[in-house]
Amino acid sequence: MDFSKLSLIEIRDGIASGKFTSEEVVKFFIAQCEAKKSLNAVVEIFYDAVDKAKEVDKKIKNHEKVGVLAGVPIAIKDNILYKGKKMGCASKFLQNFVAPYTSTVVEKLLSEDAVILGRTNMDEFAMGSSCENTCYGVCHNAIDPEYVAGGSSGGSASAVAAGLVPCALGTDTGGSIRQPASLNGVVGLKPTYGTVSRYGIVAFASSLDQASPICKTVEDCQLVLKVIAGKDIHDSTTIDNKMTSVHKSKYTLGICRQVMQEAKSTQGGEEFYKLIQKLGDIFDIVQVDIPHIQNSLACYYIIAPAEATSNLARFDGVKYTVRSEGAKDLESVYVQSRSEGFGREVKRRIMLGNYVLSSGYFDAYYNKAKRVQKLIKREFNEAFSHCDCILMPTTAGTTFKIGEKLSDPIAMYKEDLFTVPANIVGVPAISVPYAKIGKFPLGAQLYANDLNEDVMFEVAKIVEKVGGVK
Amino acid sequence: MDTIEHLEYLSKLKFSDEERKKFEKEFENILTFVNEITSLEIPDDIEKDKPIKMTELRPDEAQPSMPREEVLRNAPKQKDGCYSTPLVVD
Repeated sequence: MDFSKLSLIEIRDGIASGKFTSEEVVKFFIAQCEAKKSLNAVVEIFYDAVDKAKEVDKKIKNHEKVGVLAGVPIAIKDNILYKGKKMGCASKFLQNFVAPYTSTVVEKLLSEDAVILGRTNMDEFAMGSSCENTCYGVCHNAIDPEYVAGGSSGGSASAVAAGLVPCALGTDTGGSIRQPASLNGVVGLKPTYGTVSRYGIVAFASSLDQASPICKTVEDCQLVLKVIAGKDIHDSTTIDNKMTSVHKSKYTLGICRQVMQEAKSTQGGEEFYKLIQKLGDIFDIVQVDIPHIQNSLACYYIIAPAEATSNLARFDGVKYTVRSEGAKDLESVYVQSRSEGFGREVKRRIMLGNYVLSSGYFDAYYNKAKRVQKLIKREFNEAFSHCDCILMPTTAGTTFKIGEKLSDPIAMYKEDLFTVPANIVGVPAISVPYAKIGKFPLGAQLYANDLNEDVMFEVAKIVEKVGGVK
Repeated sequence: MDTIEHLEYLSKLKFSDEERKKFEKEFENILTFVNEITSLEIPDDIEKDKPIKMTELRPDEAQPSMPREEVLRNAPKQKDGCYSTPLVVD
């Protein structure tokens, strides 16, 4: 049976009803990963997944109580810890690092009897929008290998789109789940900041990072989010997000004037207009203003590097796996190990972070960015008083050729123009495929207000249906 | 010391001359781009806006930590149950 055509929930139900076993499913997806190795989406298959699958099958056979993800294989991004398994953040610096404990998200998946299938490719330390900055080699787009998978969770998105796994976890600091999901034609989610614990996930920009699933359907994402969400004593930023919401017969969709100005001249602009027209029959559509939304990206490229520079200070050639061979004294242990270990984009961001934090620039850049962030948040609050969700494109256009934007950091950064605001203001957002240009998919995003994931899922399911691209 | 070299020092990174040249150019472009926010006017009362939740601290109670061997397992060099580095003080 070809399980790659099924959603996570269809697979889960098939296993639960005895139509097929978890072992069959897991072996099928392992064979898929092996057959499509050249995609470079899954960087390591966990072969003991077959044993875990057998355990779940045994439980089901014995009519024992099983979890809501019983027997379903899920892959994890290479920055998420699973005890005893390697985890490398796609960095030369962390090769041979073995996880000494299991992250909260993986614990939660395991407690619902999911089977962890392997780890997926990414941009080094989650910094990038193309999955080209990786020590494992470029990850390819699932639709055409000459094109990028997007990033940083490119491996997770490409793996789900190519049918290597029905769900993969990613992390999203500025769009790292939604942008690759859009470029590969799958669904990607970022929940309200604080919904998911980051314990056991390598920190990039702690005030923005969230982990979340990439799946084929909105419903699958919703299920997996409910499993991994929750307060965690090991992550003080976590909240008890009950995601409760009032269900309405008709929702109001906001279209942001400033986003439309930006979007109209993009490759995907025309398709996006068509989508709004189609949705006009189903939703009340209103225009909203978020006057400073375009400044989110500049804020992001100040706040994220500032936090990254502190978070990455721990990689010093002393504590984690790699030390420069030539280092003769402590200073050169630090400097040489870091200079040899980090890739170009990571170095660029560390330098930028130190610049905006250094004396003389701190107020002009970092403090100013934090204040602009608050202003944008205020504007979002105002916008959400007029609508349930805000609809916008996920990306300006479809995927691009490998190498095309690699030498132009600003062009690459602008890939996140429509995704970054959700991280800057902390609200949930989801990308859903809705159209194609040629063979390449386009994603539309729904933003909802803090803690309003359920409204967002309801609306996203309708957009998914109207778009008709799965 | 010029800015880039100073940042290398702060970052504990060392660039080759070629890398530095390339970085300098990219850095200029990035700064031009982020500069757009420096002139924005922000309402005076903005600091009154609060996040949805203030960070709660957990009770300050001792808990078992990870075993030392587990922590040291990923160290490039270790000696007598400690991280090992080149000599710092003669």
